[in-house]
Amino acid sequence: MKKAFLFLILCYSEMILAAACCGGGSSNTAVITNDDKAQFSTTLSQSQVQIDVDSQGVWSHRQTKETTKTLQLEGAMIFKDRFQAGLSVPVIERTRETQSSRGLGDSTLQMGYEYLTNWDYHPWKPRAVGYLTVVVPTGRNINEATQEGLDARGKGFWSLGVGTIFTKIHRAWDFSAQFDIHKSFEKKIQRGDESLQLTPGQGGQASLGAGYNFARWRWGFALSWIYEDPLITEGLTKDTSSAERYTTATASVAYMFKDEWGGVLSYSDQALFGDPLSTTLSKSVSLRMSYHWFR
Amino acid sequence: MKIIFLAFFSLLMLNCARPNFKDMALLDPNKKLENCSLQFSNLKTCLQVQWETPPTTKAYSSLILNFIDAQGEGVDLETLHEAQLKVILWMPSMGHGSSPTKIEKLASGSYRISRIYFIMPGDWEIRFQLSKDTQLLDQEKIELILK
Repeated sequence: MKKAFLFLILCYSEMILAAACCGGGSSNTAVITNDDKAQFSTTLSQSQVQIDVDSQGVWSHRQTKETTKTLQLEGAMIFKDRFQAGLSVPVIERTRETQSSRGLGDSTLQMGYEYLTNWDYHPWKPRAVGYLTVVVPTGRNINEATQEGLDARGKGFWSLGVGTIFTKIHRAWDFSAQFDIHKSFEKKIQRGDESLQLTPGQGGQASLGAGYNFARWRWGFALSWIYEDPLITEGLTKDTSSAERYTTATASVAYMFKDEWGGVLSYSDQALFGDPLSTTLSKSVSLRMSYHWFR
Repeated sequence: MKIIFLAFFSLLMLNCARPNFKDMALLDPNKKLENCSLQFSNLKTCLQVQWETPPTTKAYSSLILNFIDAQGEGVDLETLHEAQLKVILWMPSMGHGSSPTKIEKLASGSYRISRIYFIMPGDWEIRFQLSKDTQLLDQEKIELILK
C-alpha cells in the first residue's frame, strides 16, 4: 500500500511544464489523484534550448545559449467530497547570453471531479479525475514582448480547457494517462503604433507515464505529446503561422522523506521522441518538493 | 501485464524522433538586392538595401535603405507619397516578430534602420511597409535564414 501511496504522491511531477517556442508552454495542472485533503508543491526547473525546428520539420542546433529557470508554485485542495480546486503559478527567468528577464508566467486555475473512484480496489478499473482549467494570461505573449523577446513568458491568452487523468496501480508498477484540450481566445495588442489582433486556436496534450516503486523510491518515465493550432496575426497584414507540436520525454526518480513530504528529481528531453514542428527543443532538469495533508 | 509493457515499449519505439538536421546557410541579402530588386510597384519606387552591420542572432544589426526613382534620385517618402516607413522583423513559421526597429532619416529617401535583433535562428522576413495612417500603401520584404 505504501508503494501505491508513493506513486499517488509523486507521479504527476513527471508531467512537468514543457517549455516550447518563445516563452510559451503547456499549462500545468495541480490535480489531486489520491486521498489527500490538500497538497502544495514547489518545482524549480532549468531548461536550455538545444534545437530549433522550422515549419518543414528541419532541425538546426541552437548556437546561442538560451536558458529558462522556472519556479512553479502549485496547490490543490478537496472542497466537497470528490470536488477539488487548484492553482498553479510560475515565476520565470529567461536568459539569452548575458541578458535576462524575470516575471510571472501564465497562471492556471482549475476545478476537478473524481468521476471514477477506486473505493473497491477493482483489479483493472482505473481511478479518474476530470478537470476544467482556466489559463490566466499573467505571462506575456511574444508579440507583446519588448526586451528582444526575453520578456515573453507565456502564451499570453485567456484559455479554457478540459481534461482527465487516469491512474492505475498494479503491484509495484503504476500507470497513468492524461489527456486535455484547450481553446485560447483572441486578444488585441498594441505594437508600436500598430494595433494587432492575435487569434490563437485550439491545442491539446496527451501524456502516458509508468513507474516502478520500491521502499520509499519510485523510478518513472513519461511521454507527453503537445499540439497547438497556428496563430493568426492581423494588423496591416494578415499572417498565419504553422502549427506547433513536440514531444517531451521525462525520466524521474522520487523519494518520500516522510509520509507528508516527497521530492522528485526529473530530467526532460524534447529531442528524443515525436515529429516536432515549428518549435524549439529543450533539455530540462527539475526538482520538486511537495507537502500533503491527509483526509 | 506483459501486454501493457509490450504496448508501452512499442509506442516508445514507434515514436522515436527522426532528426532532420540541415546546415542552414546564411543568405546574403546584399547579393540579392544589389540591382534594386525590391520594387514598390504601387509607388513606383525602388529600394536599395545594404547591411551596415550583418544579421546575426547574437547582436543588433543595422541596415541602410535608399529609396530611389527610375532616374536614380532619392525619393522623399513623406513629401511625395505622404507615406510612413515601417520596418518589421517577422518569423512567418512561428507567427511572431521581434522588438521594434529604430528608423533614422539620413537624407531624402535615405534611412538607417538600427536595433534589428533576430531573437532566434530560423526563417525570418524583413518587411518594409509604406503606410498612410492605417492604410498599407505598399510592402516588400527580404527573406533570411539565420543560423
